[in-house]
Amino acid sequence: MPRTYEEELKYIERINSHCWRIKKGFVPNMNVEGVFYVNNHLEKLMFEELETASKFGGIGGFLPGMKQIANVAALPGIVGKSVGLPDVHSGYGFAIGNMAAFDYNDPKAIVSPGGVGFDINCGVRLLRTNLTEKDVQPMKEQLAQSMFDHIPVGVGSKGVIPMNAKDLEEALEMGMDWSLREGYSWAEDKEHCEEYGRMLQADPTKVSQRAKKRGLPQLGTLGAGNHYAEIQVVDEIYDRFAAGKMGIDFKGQVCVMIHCGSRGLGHQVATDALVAMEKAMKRDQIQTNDRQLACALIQSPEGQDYLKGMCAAANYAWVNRSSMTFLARQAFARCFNSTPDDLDMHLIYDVSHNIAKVEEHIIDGRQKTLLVHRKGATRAFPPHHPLIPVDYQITGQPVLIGGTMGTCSYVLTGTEQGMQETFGSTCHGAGRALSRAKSRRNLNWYEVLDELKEKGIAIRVASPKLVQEEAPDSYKNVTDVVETCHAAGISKLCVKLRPVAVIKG
Amino acid sequence: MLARLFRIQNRTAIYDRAHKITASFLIGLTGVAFLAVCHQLYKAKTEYLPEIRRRGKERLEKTLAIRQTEAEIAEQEQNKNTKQHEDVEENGPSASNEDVEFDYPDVKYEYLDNTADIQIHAWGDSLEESFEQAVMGMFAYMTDIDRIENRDMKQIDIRAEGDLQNLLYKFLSEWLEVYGTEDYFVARKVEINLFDRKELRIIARGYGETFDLSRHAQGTEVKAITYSNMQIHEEAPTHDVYVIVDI
Repeated sequence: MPRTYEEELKYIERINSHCWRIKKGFVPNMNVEGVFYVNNHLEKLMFEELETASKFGGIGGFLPGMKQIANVAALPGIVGKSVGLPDVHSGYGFAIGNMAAFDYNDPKAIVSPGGVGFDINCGVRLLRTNLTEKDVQPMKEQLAQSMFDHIPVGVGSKGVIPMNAKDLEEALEMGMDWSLREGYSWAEDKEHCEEYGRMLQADPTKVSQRAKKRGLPQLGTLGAGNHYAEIQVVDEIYDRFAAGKMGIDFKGQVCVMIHCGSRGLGHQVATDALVAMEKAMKRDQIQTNDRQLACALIQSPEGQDYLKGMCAAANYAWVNRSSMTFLARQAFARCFNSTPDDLDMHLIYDVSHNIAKVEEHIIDGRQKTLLVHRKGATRAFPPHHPLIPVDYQITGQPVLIGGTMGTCSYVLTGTEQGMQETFGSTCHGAGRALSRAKSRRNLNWYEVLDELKEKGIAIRVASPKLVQEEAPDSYKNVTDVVETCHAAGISKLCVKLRPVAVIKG
Repeated sequence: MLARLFRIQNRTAIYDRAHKITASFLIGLTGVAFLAVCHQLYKAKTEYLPEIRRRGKERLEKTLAIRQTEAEIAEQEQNKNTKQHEDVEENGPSASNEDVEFDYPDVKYEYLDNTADIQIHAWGDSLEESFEQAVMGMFAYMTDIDRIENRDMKQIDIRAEGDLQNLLYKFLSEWLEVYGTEDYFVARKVEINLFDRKELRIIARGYGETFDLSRHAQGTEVKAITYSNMQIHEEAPTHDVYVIVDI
């Protein structure tokens, strides 16, 4: 049904300066409204996307983010609103930066692997150190090389942590507890991780042999794409009290940020689930507007199998990140001739931004169990929530927003308003503005690298072509995204971090 | 005392003395012989026996060593055989292609704009060729395909349920899985041997080699295949195929 751009606009209504509503009827069968948070700059990009799609009518083009938010709102069992966070952009099925919550006890409610993403438990973790920028600047190149040598990156890389099939099974079941047992992570790390590094509903038997085979050689590797490990320096502190609770005391303090996911295992689990659910959809007669929105009833065997397999893949990602934390600690210790303990390399927090969780939320005064899908959205629980660690009870859960290569990253904290409006979710990063093919054509990798060198950033990349695609210019401005979150009240700015060394695959 | 020994006969003094000398000589000889025997026993314990044992051990080890190498060779051969059998069972015949004449196909794919991921547009003179080019396009994104040599071959046999889109999805996913599970095997040339549209079955072979960090460039890893905006234009003379892959 090719509508004109003006007709589409009738369904979009502005609520306030940074929030828009998508009314029912934008796409057929919407059960609830959609809502998305943008500021002036970002809204132009969103509407441009919609305009391009209306012109081409869907042939050779793609569904714009707004349409995808609305398609998600048409899924059965959805509760509240289908929320688009400031970094929302078009993905497959669900938009990336889309949060949707489903009533767990509703027999018609569904679970969708598209709502979690292919990279299950893609997340960010932040380590602090007691080093200052002055300590690190003269050793920057050495440090970057040391980390690049310790952490395998890029296509075809194999993990260095010794593992066999039995270890993998245990790791899938126990998550970070396995890392702790093997000595790769510290006991305090577990405290400062979402779900304490282990999802209890994980069942390794629900992960196929293929997925395990894919995952075994890749444990402890960074991967490619937008994954990275960065050595960052605190640039600004907005909330001194909250930052103090996290161990960030002064400007110029050095931190390490690692962004990666569950590698081939997660991708395989998602692919297998999509195939199984396509069959289930026909059997249970679930209607969706988009073929990529494959889903199954939560209470059906396929739905439950997917949830258990997803939890196992999430555990794998936490083990992956703990292994890389271990390698990063070793790299630093080797460079500074000290121990990770002496360098105070504690974990500040570990968040995941591609996951589905069973959470309790209060809707209309009643407590309900919801299955919250966060695809490209990070959990941001407010102060005094029982699931966040004791250290952060007063300040709220830290939210780690990774910038892109060469741009700033942020640490935010969760707020009560975010809990009410978006079920405790906020943005995850910058979101892309330019397509990868356009970036490859318009940008040169040596120009990008020169620019980064001028900014004083040491960089080690496995693939030059990736440098073009991942150039900061091809992403939205993360500062815009984060400021929108702050203005909308769904999370509060806490710390700004600036990179001094980047390791990418 | 000696007289008591010869109490019965009373000899003359000479006989007496001769007997005494002989007797003491014999006793002396016995004593010396006894000492000699003791000495020999002592020597045997400290020298001869260990020597004998050492020589015996060496001989034993030598024979064992020969037996072990024979066993190892036999085992290796057995392993090779079972491995070959396993490979053949799991993935179909895998062989090096030293004698095969190779002609790499023209590039009939390109990459199109897509916000977060990459869209592969492949075409060809037939639908099979478009499918082959789509797989080659996917591998070309992961590494510099010109540096992949023809050292190995993997065969796949897949069936799909549903329609042609399901088939394309399964075909690409299967090659991605071969890459992920077979030690990062990258195919530079893909050839479809059987394309059954009714049963939605494809048997295909990929010629290439396993990824080697020292020789091959690292591109971008493909995470998964998506149905997003997947298009198969069979009616068009160029049989265009569009598929978006997640990076």
